Amino acid sequence: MLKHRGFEEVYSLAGGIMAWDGLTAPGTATQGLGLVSGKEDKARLLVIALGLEAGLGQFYRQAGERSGSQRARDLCQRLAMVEQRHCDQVYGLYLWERPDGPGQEELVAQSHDLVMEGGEKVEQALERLLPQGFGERALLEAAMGIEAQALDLYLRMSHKLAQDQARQALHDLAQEEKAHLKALGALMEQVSQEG
Amino acid sequence: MMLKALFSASRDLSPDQVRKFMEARRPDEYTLLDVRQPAEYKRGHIPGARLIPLPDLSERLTELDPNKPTIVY
Repeated sequence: MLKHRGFEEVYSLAGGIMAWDGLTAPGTATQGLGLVSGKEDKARLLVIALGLEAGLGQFYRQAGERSGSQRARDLCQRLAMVEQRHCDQVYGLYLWERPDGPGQEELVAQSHDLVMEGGEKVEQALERLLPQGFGERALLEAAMGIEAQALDLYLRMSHKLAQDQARQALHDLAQEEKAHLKALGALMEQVSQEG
Repeated sequence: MMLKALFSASRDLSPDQVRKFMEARRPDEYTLLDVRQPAEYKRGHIPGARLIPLPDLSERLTELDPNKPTIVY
């Protein structure tokens, strides 16, 4: 069908989704898309992304407080630091767009009530993903699920945006999430071997 | 679903090949297309996949860029 309509390069995933052994993201095609109208410019988009990244940092910090083991607490701290680095990067990009813009904290406060990266509120996500008594492995599984959702949300949001620069900014953030997921996968492998 | 019959001129890629394909490219360089029903998509989809259920595909193809490689599942 696609080839006959001018699509030159078409591939099928052999075995379909049942054969897919990589990460998946749950949720509808429009989940979280209420965060953007589609008309945002790059600066506005970066403010939203900053709020999402900051929300995830908050998730890891709160998860660390609930954790029973020192190793899980250390892991949460590391993950929260990664998110803070993402926040700093996003804020740096924002300052290129708006050199006289407000400080990072003020900007985070302005952005969508600390909705976390996957488009879900921090407290809801903690209850859903990390019931009491979780350890390093459960935490890593939750983190990979959340990061997959974040990647998914950034890409679905990009489909909705009209402005090229804003779309590009989301693709850059999605690339960061891909790298982060890869690092989490390596960490999971390490924890599995140790356990 | 007999995707192969519907996309007969397409080439099969194994999950590992799809993963490598995506890792080697930026997300704006290809289209990942989920042609299942919305309820199936909701249960779990490959991150970034666009949902156009098969029955709607013919009418909604204009939403996609024919110049980009397209991976369908």
